[in-house]
Amino acid sequence: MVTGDPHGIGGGRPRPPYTPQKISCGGCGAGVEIRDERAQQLICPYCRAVLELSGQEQLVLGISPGGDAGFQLPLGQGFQWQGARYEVIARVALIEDGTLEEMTHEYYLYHPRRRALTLSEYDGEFSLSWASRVMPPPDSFYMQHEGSQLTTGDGEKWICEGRGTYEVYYIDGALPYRLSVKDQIDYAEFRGATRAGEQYEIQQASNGETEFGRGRSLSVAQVNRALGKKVRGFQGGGGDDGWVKKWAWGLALLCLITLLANVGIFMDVIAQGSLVLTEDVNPQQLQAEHMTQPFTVGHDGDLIQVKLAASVENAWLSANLAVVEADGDTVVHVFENDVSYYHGYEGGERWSEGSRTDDVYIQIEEAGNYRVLVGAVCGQGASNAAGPCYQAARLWVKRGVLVPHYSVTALILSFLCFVCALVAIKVNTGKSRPRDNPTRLLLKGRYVWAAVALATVLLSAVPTYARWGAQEMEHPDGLSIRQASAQTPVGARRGFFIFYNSPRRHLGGGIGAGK
Amino acid sequence: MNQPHAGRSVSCPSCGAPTPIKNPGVVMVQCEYCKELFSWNQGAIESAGKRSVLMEGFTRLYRGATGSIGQNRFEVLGRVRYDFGGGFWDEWFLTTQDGQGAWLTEDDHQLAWQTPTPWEFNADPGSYQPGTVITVQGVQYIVHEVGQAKCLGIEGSLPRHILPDESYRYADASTADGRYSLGLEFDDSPPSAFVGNWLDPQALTLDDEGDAW
Repeated sequence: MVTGDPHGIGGGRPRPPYTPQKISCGGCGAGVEIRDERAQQLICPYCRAVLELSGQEQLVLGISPGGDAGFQLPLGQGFQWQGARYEVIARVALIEDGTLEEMTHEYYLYHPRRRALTLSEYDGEFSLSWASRVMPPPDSFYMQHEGSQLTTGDGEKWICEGRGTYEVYYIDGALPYRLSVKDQIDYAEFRGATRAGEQYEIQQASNGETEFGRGRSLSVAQVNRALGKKVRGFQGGGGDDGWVKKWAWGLALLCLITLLANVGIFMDVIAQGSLVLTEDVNPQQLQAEHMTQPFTVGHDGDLIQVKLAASVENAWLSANLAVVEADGDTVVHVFENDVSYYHGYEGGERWSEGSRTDDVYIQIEEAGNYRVLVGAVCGQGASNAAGPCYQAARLWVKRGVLVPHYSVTALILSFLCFVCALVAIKVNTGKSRPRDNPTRLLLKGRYVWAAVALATVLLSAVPTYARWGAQEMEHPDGLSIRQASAQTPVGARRGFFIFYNSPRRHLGGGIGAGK
Repeated sequence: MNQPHAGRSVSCPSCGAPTPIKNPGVVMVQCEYCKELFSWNQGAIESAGKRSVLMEGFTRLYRGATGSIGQNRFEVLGRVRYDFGGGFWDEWFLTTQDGQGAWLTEDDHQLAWQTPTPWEFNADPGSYQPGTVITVQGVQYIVHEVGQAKCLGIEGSLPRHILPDESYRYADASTADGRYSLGLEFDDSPPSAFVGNWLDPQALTLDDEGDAW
């Protein structure tokens, strides 16, 4: 039937009430309220079943992993924004690089008559964002890198603050889209080039869907006002509240422990060994080759340190040495010691280089009595020409020693690690925003840093106590000094090293190659 | 109060309840009482044999809401809800005080004023992909979504025939600045196209905003 009743505009109809839907969880049967009719997915707050809501019937897709994601705000938390009360109806925790320290907390803010907002918190910094239809230039996503510029379709200019991949770590509540733990989301984040606090974001889900978002940063005070309660956050003082401080102190402690361990190893190394020979060799003996008094090596495989010192002044001494069995004829190892010491003034500054001592570590295969055969040539100034020595030398032999090179290297490395950790603590003043915090930049390599600190102890202990780094005996079967000396050419100066080596020339060091 | 056009009422063929017709373009009605869908065209009333129920209270607009866009008063007469696979959107039918009908699209509580535009496009839905650029009257639109829309339900009075579960292919495009939209609907032959203007939330006011909830 058609009638002719007049109807106009203005009478209106009362607004229908907002009545959230109530369902029973398909997993545990608990009554659950759905606040947002757009919800596609709900995590049951009781059994964490993932309920698929988009179809006619509710589907249980599985159980979402739980755990402590460290959210500051609970589900149901009110958020007063621009005259309306929003409510947190879902929470998502995102991580990056697989590390829980790089966690972003997102709160999905619902209002039945306003567009959804997302409150994000990363290391005490808050931002509020919403979906945007403003597009970036086509295919610009993969060209973004930190510092690159972008102009969106509305003419706004943005500076990229970073690009990366989020991994979903935790979800609860009701979301208007499907999302699972371990889902990956590529993102590029931008800040306004001309308007401070403005933000733009491009997100690409693994299914290829691209979403754009606009947002703005919020101060902790703004967040506190919107929530009606206080939250933890960055307030421009007191240091970086997040993981940075913990890591900086943790690394400092770790480095200190490794430094102390390396000091202990080094002290142990230098305490090892006993002096079994001290002998002065005069210039004539050096020229003619000199056989020292015998000394005893107590254990097979023992390490000995042979140290030579000479009081050279802007000169060098190059010594040939040999470990000889107690019979004074059988050479089991030949080696060299070089000392050179140069110093002077240049440009008003005092300089010096080189050392008046040199040492060698040798592993003696069999316990027994041994001597050292020593001969040397010397030179003055920048000349490489060898001549007779005019200064005496002193020889020391210690047995039962350990090679200290590894522990010294490890000690230096661990000391540097410790100093860097102290610097990281020192510069973490809290005066800069977290993303500009130099400590955070230093801590980007925190895992490598920690690994290096721990590795220094291994680097120190393993090769040192495994007795690596010493010279092995070159002639375990022995060379006869008498036979060797007999083979030197007629008329030449007699001696073992004359036969063993051609006359030595000092190469390197000295003033010519000096400072 | 202005009463720009005389209304009429139709009686539900199922329960007999009267439903006022507030816009001359209305051809389909949902009985407010028994939710039966029926068509009204040139005086003939015929039941669609279907009922439709959409939840209310979750949107800013609602059937029977009155308000203003600029100086124009309007009343919301009906709504169609479409599913796109990953959610849904609503299309609201309004009548204005001068008797004109208008459509507002609502997506995530954002409203766009839709205006039909002559079809001058490729009628093959497969020719549109995300990223495809379409130029309409010198304005470039970039396709950002293509898919299959399915009617989830209707309520109120509508100026077109549509029933729950009907579906069609669509392509949604937007200008790069996000202010304007273009919707291509491959539902009829020829298909239809609408250009839209996304409204600032303050551009539309309701007599009952209902911010408390």
